[in-house]
Amino acid sequence: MLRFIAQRLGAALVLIVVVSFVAFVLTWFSPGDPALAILGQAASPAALAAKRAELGLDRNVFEAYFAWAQHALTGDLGTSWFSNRPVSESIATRLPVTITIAVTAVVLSGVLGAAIGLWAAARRGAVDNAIRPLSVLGYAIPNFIVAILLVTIFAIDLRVLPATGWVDFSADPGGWFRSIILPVAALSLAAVAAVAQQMRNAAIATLQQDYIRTLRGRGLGGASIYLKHVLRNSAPVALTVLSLQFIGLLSGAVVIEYVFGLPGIGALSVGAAVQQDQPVIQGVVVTVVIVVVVVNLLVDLAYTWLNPKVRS
Amino acid sequence: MTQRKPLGLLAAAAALAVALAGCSAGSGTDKSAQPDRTLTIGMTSDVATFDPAQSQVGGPNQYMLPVYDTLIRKDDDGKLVPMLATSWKYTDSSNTVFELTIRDGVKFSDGTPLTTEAVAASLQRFRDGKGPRATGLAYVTDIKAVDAKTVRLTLSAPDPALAENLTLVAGMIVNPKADAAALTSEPAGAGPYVLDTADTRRGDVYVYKRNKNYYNASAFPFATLNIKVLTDPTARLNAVKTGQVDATYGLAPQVAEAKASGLTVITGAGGWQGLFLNDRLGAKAPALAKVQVRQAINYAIDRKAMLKALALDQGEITTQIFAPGTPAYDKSLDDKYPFDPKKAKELMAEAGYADGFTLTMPQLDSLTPAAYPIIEQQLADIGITVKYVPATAAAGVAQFTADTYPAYMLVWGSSNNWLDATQLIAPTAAFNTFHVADPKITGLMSQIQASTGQKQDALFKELSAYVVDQAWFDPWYFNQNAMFVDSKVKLTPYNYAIMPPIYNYSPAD
Repeated sequence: MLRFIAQRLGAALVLIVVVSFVAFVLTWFSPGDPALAILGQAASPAALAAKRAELGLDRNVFEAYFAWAQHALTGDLGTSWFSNRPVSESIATRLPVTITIAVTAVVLSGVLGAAIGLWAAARRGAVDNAIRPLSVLGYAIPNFIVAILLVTIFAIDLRVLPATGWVDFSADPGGWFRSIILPVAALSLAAVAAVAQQMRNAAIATLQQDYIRTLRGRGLGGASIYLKHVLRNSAPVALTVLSLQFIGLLSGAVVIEYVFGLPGIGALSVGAAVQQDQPVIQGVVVTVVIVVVVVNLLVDLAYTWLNPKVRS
Repeated sequence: MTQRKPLGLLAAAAALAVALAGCSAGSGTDKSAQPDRTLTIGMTSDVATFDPAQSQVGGPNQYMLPVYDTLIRKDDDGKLVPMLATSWKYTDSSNTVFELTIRDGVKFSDGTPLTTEAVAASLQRFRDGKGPRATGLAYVTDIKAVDAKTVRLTLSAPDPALAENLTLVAGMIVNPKADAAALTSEPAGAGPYVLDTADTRRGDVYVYKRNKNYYNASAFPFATLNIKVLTDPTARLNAVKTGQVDATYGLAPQVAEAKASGLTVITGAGGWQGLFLNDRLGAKAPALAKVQVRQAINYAIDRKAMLKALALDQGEITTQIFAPGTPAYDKSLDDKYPFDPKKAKELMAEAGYADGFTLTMPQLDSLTPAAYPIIEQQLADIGITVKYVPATAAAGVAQFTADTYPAYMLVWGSSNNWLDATQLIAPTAAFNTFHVADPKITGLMSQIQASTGQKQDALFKELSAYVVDQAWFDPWYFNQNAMFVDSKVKLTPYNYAIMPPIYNYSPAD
């Protein structure tokens, strides 16, 4: 098990280096001059040259990358060229927002999706027939459309939930909860649909297994069969979908953060990409890669816990 | 049938769903009414720094003006009025010695007296700070606190935009006691408010509280000012509709919806949109060297149709680069190029381009995309084939200050006539990308620099008429900036600023 984790961590390290280098090169060679963007068109050539030197833009791309990587290894992600704020500080204040939304959405989709999937598998018939097209629909509607719809109904027409903004949990737990309901709902819909669909299919397949019939034959009750055996044997499929969804939810959060005006990592990264704010782009890329790697590792560990066959 | 039995898991899920629904229905509407009045403004972009010496103008002003008073203030009619300086004038006949009388008894937010030495030190720091607007004091060679009331600026040459620049970041006076390195996030000025760094979440919401040492507190009825960063236009409109913010910047296509939902829409003059016909010597597009061709383009584009299609009629058509209300602007010039394709074709033939030519222009991914096919169609009607090169806003302003394209479409935020002239038409101007030196323009500009008052105003008008006649540009219309305001707040109309200054806000009741 330890060896498995060590292998995964090694691969993750390579991944971080490769992805951060590619991101660096892409930003480096994209058109536009950050010094000019910072100082404006009225700046003198001398001031522009000084700014370029200050930003390290007068070096070649490898030198610049290694200088960045060296600092990054010590935990210093640099300072934003445009906001003049330490990148690690910006990420530290914004990551919790994105993670809160994405993790809550994953948990919600896991629980609701599994429940709906199991329900459809157990009842079949009318319930199943209703759920199947609905889940296709839920999966097909882009989350920003769902978001706009939810805002229109719950924030503008009914005035029961805030249309935009983020409230810190420590400042006002109730306000915090209210502020995440709509974003999480908008983000989860497609994931709930995907998980429900996979769970339903897997559960139906499991239900047709001989051992289920045997268990029933031995007089075991329905709830016990579903929760102990069907759920556990169908879960790996749902888990795969969910882990893929999590990565999708992270990118979906970018759009959702815009619609709801949330100060998360998505809004930060879009702003930085438009401005070619290299230190921020690098910081966000590395952070997101680390999050994705950690999530995948956790999912792998969960697999082995659910299914001992994987361990060997 | 065991399959029909309710499942514990389902029950749990249902309970959760009910809990969510219950909460959403139960918590009621946002009760932001507080004993102390609060003003919340929704801003389109974040602020990069609170150090005036390193700040741009425009959007950042919204964040800076609450904490920094400027030496001079520009009122809603574009007139310069006292602020930290109670009066100012040139003391010599050549307009190179400028004296400001500083207001008595003003203190910085920490109680430090705002002395003439502090003003001089702040101006010096700004000029030498190499910031994006440091050129605003480029002509200033000497800055001196003459006595307890007077600060004297000595200039190497007359600068018709000097007083204007003192209404912007150059005129924001910084507390000399402030830690210069911390200014980025901790402003230190003499404005009506101070930034509450404890409650501020940078990049999300900025919280301002009253400056207890302010000399004119009664002019600012709000005890607390919040500025929320909301980059998405829909999110901004939703926030003001639901009372989360009191006022925010709106877009032309949103005006009808904002009015329909009971918001007040306050408009102010914005920038002009149109074509920059930069290749006036014909380096890349030889046809543009002919004045008849440039005039033909002015006749070929239907300004009224552009205003309707792009800005939903929120604006005024124009042919000029100088803003309405400024000395250079002459209303009668706006009728100079009516939509007349026939006349345009005649001019093309006169210039020897009866068969047309090909014009290469960038097609930006962000700027009013509907404009590009209209330009293409209307220029095709007079024989000009437009070839678009895809361009991205992310490449920044640099692509418009390089001589890459013979012409391009852009929005220009006109302000002070002299600033516009030095940036658009002077031989060294950043947006005169082929650095065309027209002797008439150069001559008029040096006359303007050496004159003042009505004489200067008349010269500016002459300059505008000449630029329109020579068709250096093809401006279509001045757009309008729109602010959406809820019923709790009153906003007085404003001009020549992207966002209205905080002085223009008051409670509705």
